[in-house]
Amino acid sequence: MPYSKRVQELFTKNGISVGDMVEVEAYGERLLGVLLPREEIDFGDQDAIVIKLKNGYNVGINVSNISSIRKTETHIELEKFPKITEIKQKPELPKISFISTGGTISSRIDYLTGGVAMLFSPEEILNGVPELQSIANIRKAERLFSLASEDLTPNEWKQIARKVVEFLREGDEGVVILHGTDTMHFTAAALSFMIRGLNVPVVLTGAQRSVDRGSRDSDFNIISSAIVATKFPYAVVSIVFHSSMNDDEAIVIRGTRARKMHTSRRDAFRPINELPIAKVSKDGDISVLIHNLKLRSKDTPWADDVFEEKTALIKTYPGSNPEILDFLIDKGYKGIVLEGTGLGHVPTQTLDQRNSWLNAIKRATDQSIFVGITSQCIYGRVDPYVYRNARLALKYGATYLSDMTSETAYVKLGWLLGHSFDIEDIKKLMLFNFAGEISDGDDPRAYLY
Amino acid sequence: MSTKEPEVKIGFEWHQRLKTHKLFCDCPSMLGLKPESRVMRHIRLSYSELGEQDPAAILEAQRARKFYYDFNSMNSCLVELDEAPPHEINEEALRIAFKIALMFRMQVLDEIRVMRKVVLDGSNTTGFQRTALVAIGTKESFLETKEGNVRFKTLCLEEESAFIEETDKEEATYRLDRLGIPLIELATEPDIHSAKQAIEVAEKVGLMLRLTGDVQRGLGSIRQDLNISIAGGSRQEIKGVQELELIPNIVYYEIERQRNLIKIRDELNLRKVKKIEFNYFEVTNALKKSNSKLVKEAIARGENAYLLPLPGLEGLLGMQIQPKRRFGTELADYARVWGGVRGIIHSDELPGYGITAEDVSLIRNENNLSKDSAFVIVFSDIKKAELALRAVLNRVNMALEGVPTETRKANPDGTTSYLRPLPGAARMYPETDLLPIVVNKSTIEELKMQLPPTPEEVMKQIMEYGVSEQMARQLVRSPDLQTFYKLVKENVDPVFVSSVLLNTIPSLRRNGIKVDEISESDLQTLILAFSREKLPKEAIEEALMLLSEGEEVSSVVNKIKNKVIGEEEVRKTIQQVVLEKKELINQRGKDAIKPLMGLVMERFRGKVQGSLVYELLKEEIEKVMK
Repeated sequence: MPYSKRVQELFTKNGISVGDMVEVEAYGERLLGVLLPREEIDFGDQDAIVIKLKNGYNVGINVSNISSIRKTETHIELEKFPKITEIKQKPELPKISFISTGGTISSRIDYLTGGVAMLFSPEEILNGVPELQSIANIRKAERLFSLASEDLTPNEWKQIARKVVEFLREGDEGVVILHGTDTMHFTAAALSFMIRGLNVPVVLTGAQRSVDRGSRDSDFNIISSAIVATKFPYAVVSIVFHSSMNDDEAIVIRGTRARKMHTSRRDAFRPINELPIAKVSKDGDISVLIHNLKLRSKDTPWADDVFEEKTALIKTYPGSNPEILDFLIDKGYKGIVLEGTGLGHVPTQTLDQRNSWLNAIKRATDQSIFVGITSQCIYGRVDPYVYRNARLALKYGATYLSDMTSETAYVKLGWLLGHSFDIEDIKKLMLFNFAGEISDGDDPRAYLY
Repeated sequence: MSTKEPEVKIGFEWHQRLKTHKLFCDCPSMLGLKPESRVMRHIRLSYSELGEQDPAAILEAQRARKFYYDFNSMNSCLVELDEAPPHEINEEALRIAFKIALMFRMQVLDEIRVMRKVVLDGSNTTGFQRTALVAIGTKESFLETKEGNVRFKTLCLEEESAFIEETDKEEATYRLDRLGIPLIELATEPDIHSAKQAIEVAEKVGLMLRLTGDVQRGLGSIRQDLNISIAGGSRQEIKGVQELELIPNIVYYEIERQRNLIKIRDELNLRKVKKIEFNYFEVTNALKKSNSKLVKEAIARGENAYLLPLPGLEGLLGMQIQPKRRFGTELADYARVWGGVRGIIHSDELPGYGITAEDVSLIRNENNLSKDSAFVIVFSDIKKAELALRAVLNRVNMALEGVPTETRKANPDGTTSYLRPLPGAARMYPETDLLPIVVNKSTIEELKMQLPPTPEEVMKQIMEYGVSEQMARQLVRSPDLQTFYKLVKENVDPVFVSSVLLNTIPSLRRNGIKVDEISESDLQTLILAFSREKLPKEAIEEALMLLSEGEEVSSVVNKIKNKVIGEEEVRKTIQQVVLEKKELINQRGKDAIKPLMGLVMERFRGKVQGSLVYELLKEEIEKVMK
């Protein structure tokens, strides 16, 4: 919490401000250190003055134990980072550009206070990874936003798509996007749909560990991403991330097939219902596992950056109330993805009729609102024919969305709705394979890969 | 040898593991389980506090090493693997740290903030060690010694590093079981002025820590560092002082080293040597003609020879600065640490290693080395050679100023070797994944009521159990004091317990039995079994031997039980002895029991309770006398 009024008054009275070198007399001892600000939400003691002692430790001393405080030397600068050298052009190497959107990979720590801020510039990131100099000619590095990925919206997806297209038209042979991990798979899916005529690889990557620490995963992820951007033969949007807990192999996951499957592990991203499209070894060798992809080409890409905001993704569960669907209908929503259970079931024959979703589904489809069904099993394909529940939902107009992930289905639906197609076309297009989001067969190796 | 040197200032630092689960996760502090999995990681250079990079950090990052971490999921989770954020700090460990701080009358801080201390040698999977300053010294916090008071400076609570299994230039293998065990780091001000005083402080503090009953015992559970500074010299942090007996040598040799380094500086100034610029030559060809085995082998390995000229240093590299360590040895330390080379050859060792005076003059002539120039040669590839020679030159240039501040490692003879530069405050920044800990005043007041007893109080307590003063004095100092208390509370005979702890175990240790491999709980179970099953006390020695060989306690107890001879058989033997020695009984009456006791016990050695023999013997003698 910020300093209490009592502490602030003490500072004013003694002419002291945060960042000053101060001498505090407390417990009969003289303590020398830099006065630090208090974090906004640290749940600590607002009456405690935080100083960084000369031995490097930060400590808090309650104002009631302080007999005097005074400024000693000049104000020292709280933060100073290594001078960033300019990015060197290496014309003999493939040209790629970086786009930074925020997230852990772009955040740095305030070494004094411990606050995490998203401030890193792409140049700083690249300077921390000198290996890049021998992989690619980094043409541009641009910070688009400094947002945690949970704060991104479809509007930002559009901006990223436009920026990628701009870079590609300027001649990049690949683009790497640094992104927060939480919703990276949504953005990856959005770019897979929005960038039409893609001619080279577009890679998203991020970090599960903060970049201040020696064990950060970002460097390996960035190096592997740059290798994919420069060397991968296919023009595809992908997420490149640690393959396991080891720093020795990255996997390339198709943008429409990725999902963050762990809150904290560095191998959090896994492909769903498909193998990784490739693996990248620590020596930079790419082994391709899925071959029927579009090759790099001379196509001119363009941004088909539309998205219907009135698109929703909701989940059914025991006791879930279908009124939520009524609410969305009343609010003018145009399309809804329902994440059902098992093979794609929603509650339809509940003992208490109020828990059945059938009427709400019927009400939506009657008004030409698209209702699509995926499964919270995450793995596998939905099937409307095996059980009566699903047949009923189908009968009432819901569309079963094959083996698409819920997140990809939501993004795809919003994108299609953005084109103002009529409902019958939407139904057909939702099951048309645009960017590898739907497959014909179920690869037994893909489960829990 | 007198170590009382007025101008020397010594500070002590202890790292003592606590007896609780790990500090930032709920894994048990359990060592020795066989690892079942492994991960491979790299540690990358970090930007550190205030944007300046830490010298120790740069040093490690220069070696792009692979780190393997072996683990068992019984004592390591995603936290140790750096795959999940830390859990909240272990409350019990925090309370122990408070208690220890209060015991030394230190001031616990109002708000404690966990920091990350940058560590890039791979010993922490994160690349940093979590540490928090818990208490600071005030005018009240000091230890009385015969040579004056020694003030306590700081008490930190921190996580233990991973255990190193193997290391070489390219990779290192660690085990994660030890990582995260809570330990306190207790430091004194540099108030110690002699080695004798340092030993007194070490003994007293070690004893007080043990008396809390909250610290781990056994090998490696306590580590001691010395901070030594000398007037006109500089401060050195000396790591890994295992034996207290080594302290006098360390102090004495450090004074000697710093004095000699100052002599070297003065000599360099006299010779008007200025900062030397980096410049080196390849001398592989010149050495190819040499018959030196060392040279031939290096060339056969595909290594080249590189020479660093050191103008003005002729004769100084061979100068002894500590027993068996020359100035050249210090330079070799730098070459090894920074360049990863095997070592160096310097001009003051030549002719030598099979390199002849002719070889030397050829090298000197070919490279136009002046007469006053010393030189250093390394065998390696060019990359490592450059790092090594640059480090050597840096060290030489530091010699122009005097004694560089370093972290050094204690060698078994009390000399020290260079380990790394002394880390700056730059290596510390806040742990962002944890909230500050607001210390509750009532917790502190409550803990003040529960302070561990002083050594004097403990002695009194022990003597009340009927243990002799001499044994009590030893028990207070014994690492097994807690075992004593635990067993006595279980109604085991205090004299028996203290005799096992103070006599039997040390005597077995002296005879090379690995008694230290017996866990605390196994030892307690065994002694308890002896007491409850009324096993012959004489058999404890054999039982301990079996236990130290790794046998299960229950199986050891069964073995001893099977050997015990039934009362009837004992009585038969006694009757036989009494009959044989009837004359003795007639002569001495009841007093005959003493020699007869010895006779009988010899026949039953360890297979029967002495007290049983005594009782039966008494009965049988009385029968005969009637």
